[in-house]
Amino acid sequence: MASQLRGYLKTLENRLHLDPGERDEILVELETHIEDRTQDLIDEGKSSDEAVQDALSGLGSYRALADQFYEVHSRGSWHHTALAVLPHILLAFTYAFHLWKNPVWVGAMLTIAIGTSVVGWRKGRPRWTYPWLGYSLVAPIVSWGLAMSAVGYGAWVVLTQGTLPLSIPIYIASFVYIGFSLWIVIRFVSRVARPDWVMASLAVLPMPFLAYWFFFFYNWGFAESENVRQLREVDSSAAIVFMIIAVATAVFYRIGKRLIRVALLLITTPSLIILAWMSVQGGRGYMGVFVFVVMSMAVLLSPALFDLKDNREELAEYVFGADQTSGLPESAE
Amino acid sequence: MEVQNELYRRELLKGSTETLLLSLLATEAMYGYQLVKEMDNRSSGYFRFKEGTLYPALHRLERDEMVEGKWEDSPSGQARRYYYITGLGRARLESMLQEWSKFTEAVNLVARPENI
Repeated sequence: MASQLRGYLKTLENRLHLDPGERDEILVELETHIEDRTQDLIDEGKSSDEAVQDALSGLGSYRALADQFYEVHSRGSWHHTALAVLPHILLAFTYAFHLWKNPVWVGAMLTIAIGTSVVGWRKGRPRWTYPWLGYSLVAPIVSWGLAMSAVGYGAWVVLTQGTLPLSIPIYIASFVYIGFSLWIVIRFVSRVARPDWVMASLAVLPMPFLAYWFFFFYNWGFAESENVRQLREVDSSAAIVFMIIAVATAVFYRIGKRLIRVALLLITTPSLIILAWMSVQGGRGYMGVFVFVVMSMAVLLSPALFDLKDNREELAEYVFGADQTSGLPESAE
Repeated sequence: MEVQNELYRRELLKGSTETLLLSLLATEAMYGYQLVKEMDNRSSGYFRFKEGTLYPALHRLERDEMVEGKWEDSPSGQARRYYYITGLGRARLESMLQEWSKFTEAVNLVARPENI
């Protein structure tokens, strides 16, 4: 009797991608309900096994139950939705007014993002903080990329010329920094991904586009371009992209259905990269963009890997459909 | 025919869950299982809440600030989550009952004109 009940609640718990406090309260409430119902059925003359079975059957499919609770608890209010889309709107503003070259503005933006993230983290990570948490990762990711570039450049020069372009302490420091920043990012994402990997995916939603912009636009010399008109066109495209990300984020918060959220995330970023590629590169260099799209899908799904034990069933459902998943019980029936 | 009636009843119940829950809670605060039994008693077994629908519905009402859930000890001494209707919930219930009254009146006008 107890094992049936525990099994059902454990399966439900794995499927309830909510904050631990909310999740535990729901589980205790359902547990007391099942106990009450079971006792009544035993009083009516059923055996304890039959009674538990019937009580669990009354609750129905754990999938449907978990999905309904998720929809109720994860949908954001308009107030929280506005707070969640604010960083994307600020980014759109930054590009629309060509402020990304202004170090004071960029510094202020990063400070606001990190400050808001720290406050949100201390308050138990309310859902509106996730986009802010994502942007606060930009600094460690960019510095990690720069350190990797320095190490890669050093290795290339050693191989081709046999000498180190920079001193050994700089390389040692770079290796230490790469390990340290990677540890910070992985630790951060694994903590954020634990209750709900979809929220962690939302946090990294703008990352593929930011990386695309950084590598394709900045490294191709657009930043130094004297062609002001071309630069403004690129900035206008980026501003539109961030406005679209803001709209997608608002829809994400207001629609609680998990499947729609996953679909929205998986459609938005690749579509925006293709849109930017078509408008800025005129459709040239499609292999590079294809690789970027594949990488962006991998980045968006990667938070699920941090809790693969609990998420494998759900991931399999998204890939193969609900009927192809593992043999976990649909309900106690 | 019986199966069709049962399906029709379920559809009606689905559309009325919020009204029925608020109506029950307007009389006194109750916990989930108590609501199931009370509904069964008051409707002489006609309405049977599917528990899998009841709890998400209660949590939705709480999210929308129409009820407030509080953990309290039941008369048996065990902790239960009691739901209290709020002022917003009462106003919503009043408005839904008025609409329900208009709706049933209109249905009767169409379906049973001889009774008017």
